[in-house]
Amino acid sequence: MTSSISLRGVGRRFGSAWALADIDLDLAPGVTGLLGPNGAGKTTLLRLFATALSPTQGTVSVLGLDPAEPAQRTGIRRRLGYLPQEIGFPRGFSAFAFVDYVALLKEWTQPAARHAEVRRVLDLTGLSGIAAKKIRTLSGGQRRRVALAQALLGPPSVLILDEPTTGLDPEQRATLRTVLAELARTSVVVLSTHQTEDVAALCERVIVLDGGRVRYDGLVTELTGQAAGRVWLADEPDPAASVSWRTGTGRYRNVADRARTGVEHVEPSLEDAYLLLRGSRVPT
Amino acid sequence: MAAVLLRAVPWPAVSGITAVALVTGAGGFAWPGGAQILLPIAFALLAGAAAFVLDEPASAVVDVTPTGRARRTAVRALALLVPLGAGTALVLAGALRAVKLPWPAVGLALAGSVLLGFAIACVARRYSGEPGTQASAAAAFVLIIPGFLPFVAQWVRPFPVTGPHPGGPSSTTFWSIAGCVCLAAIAASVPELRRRRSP
Amino acid sequence: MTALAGRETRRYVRNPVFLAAVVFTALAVKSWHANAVQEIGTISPYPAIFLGGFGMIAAFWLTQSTRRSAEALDVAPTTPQARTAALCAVAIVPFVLGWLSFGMFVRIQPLDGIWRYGAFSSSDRMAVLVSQIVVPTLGGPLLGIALARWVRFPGTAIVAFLLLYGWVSLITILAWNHANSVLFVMLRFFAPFTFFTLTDGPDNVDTWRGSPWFFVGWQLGLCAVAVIVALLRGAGGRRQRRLIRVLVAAAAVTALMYALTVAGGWNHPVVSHLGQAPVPIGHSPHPTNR
Repeated sequence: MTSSISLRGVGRRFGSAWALADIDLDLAPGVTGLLGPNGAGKTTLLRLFATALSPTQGTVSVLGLDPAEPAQRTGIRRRLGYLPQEIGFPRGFSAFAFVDYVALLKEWTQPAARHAEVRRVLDLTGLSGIAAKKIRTLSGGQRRRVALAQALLGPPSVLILDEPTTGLDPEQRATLRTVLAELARTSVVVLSTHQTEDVAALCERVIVLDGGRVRYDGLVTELTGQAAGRVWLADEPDPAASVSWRTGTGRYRNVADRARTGVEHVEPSLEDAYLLLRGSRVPT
Repeated sequence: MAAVLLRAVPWPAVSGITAVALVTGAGGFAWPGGAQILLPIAFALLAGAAAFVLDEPASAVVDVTPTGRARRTAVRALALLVPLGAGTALVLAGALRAVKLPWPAVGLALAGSVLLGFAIACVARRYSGEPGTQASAAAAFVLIIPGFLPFVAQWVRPFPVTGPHPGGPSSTTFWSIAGCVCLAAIAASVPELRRRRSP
Repeated sequence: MTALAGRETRRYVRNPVFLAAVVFTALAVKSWHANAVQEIGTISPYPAIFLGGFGMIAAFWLTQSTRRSAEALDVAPTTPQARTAALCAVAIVPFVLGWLSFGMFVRIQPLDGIWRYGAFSSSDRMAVLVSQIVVPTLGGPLLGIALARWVRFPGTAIVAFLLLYGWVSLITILAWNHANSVLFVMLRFFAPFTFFTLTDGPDNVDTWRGSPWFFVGWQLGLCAVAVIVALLRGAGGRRQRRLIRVLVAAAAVTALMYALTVAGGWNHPVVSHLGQAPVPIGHSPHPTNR
């Protein structure tokens, strides 16, 4: 069975507003980052991947199966891991109990095997020491890791993560990158994040959404390369720059639509390229 | 499996409201005529308890697991035994105390009330993972409002009346129709049982 | 504060439960015109049930709706007490509608010359109607706000509504059967709503014990207690101590009103016959022939 997600002419409407329009995508095993401003449609797209939503138009295929067909949708969900942007937890549950609950819903019916799998994912997310603690007593970052742990059950062939690094400290983010990199050898991993450095560190491919449409779909290195020669440092914000902001060194990082000469160029980052693509002006 | 899935039922809400219903209904036996007043209130509370059975804070995750809504609904429906059991205890207590009420019709009203709360929650679940609050209010309104509005009360009778029949359909007729509507609503709320194929 | 109160009021009047309350109250008022009134008590409670009871539920949900943002809101310069006070202001809307309902009611059932009000004077009749139609429309939402400030469980309002409805219904029946019993008089008034008369047959109206005006005082005292309890949430230090002192004083006045309600008015139930002076009802339990 091919490990892929495929969208053709997909659109999703809420009321009279189109959150997504004319989306054509093919995702293969690996890590794909999803970037875009607020309201671009990232969460809607992820929910389509996760079979939590159906498209208003177009077709979706996940692992070669059709989510519109109930039996096939169940087949997808057997191999799916999903971390939504916001998640609630049943009252009175410990971290272990919650992940065990989801594992059971994912048809891990044998208690011994299920508990072993729960311990595995809790260990992956650094929660082994607090597995017995009630979720309501955990910090926000710990709760996010509990939510991540349930998504890693399986392990899944398709892993959809909406803002997975929210609330995680740098060490935990580094651990997450290791986990996802390992998983991405055989699985499709799609994650949305506002942290371009996470996309740069982890993803081979990036999709930029804006206004419900795909603005860019390609390699991270290629997108970053589009900003070559267009990023420089200066002591003052450059009026010729499209975007300019003060860095921690006190100097200004400038990003322009066109290449400039006679300035102190620096290696562009994915963030620079993303801002160029968006064409936004950031107040200094 | 059922035991693990039932752990996610909001038991404090379900059992707490059921306990209040039990005390309320039992209070109706303390005075002549009290049962006719307080048993309908107790049944409205039991309908409210039933409405909380489906609350699922983690619905964003649970709804995309391979365990379909039909199976989860069936397991969660086991929790209805709590309000039903409490209501049955009230009915039996009233019958044993020879309180003058048509107890078979009262029993039907009990079952119908609990089913109503559950059915409204099943429908409301399409819009919210935790439909209990709104569903319990809606169920209570359906059961209590006919008592406030005479022009409604003559047609909608959720609780059997004693004494000379005031005319209009009986509570048995009401619950026979309402029960079928509730069952249809529950079935329609489960995607696996619908013809239309969509998540 | 005014801006905040305005915002909360706009949210309140858009609440579907409140809108349903207004619709049902309007239907009830319309039915007052349509039907010849035999029993005052069968038509006067509707604003209390809808604007007061449903209004309580709407106010509860309105107050709870900001609970998730509490951590951010609590560090704003606007104190929790100011926000609560703004919430309490929403009760003005159902209160005004309650007065409108009162006005409609006395148009079709004038206070003077209608013997269906029993043996009360015109002044007492007015107090009876104010206590039944108007004050509950103020107290219901305030109770909802007080409950929501202290209780997390979202189903609290509906449970409270059902219990209050059941309590009032039960004690009314008990009072009917034990009209002269001090205990049941006390129970009858230990509620946010009560009946004072009962039409017993085509020519008789029973007037029960107790003072309508002091009952209005008791109801208003309960309203004040509800507001203070709501304000207490999140109060600390001097403010909390001051509020507790005010609460104790309000509770004492309310208790006094309650005692005067029980002790005042007719000190025994009487029955009024058309065209005759009221006659005391016997001490035996009232026959349950309805």
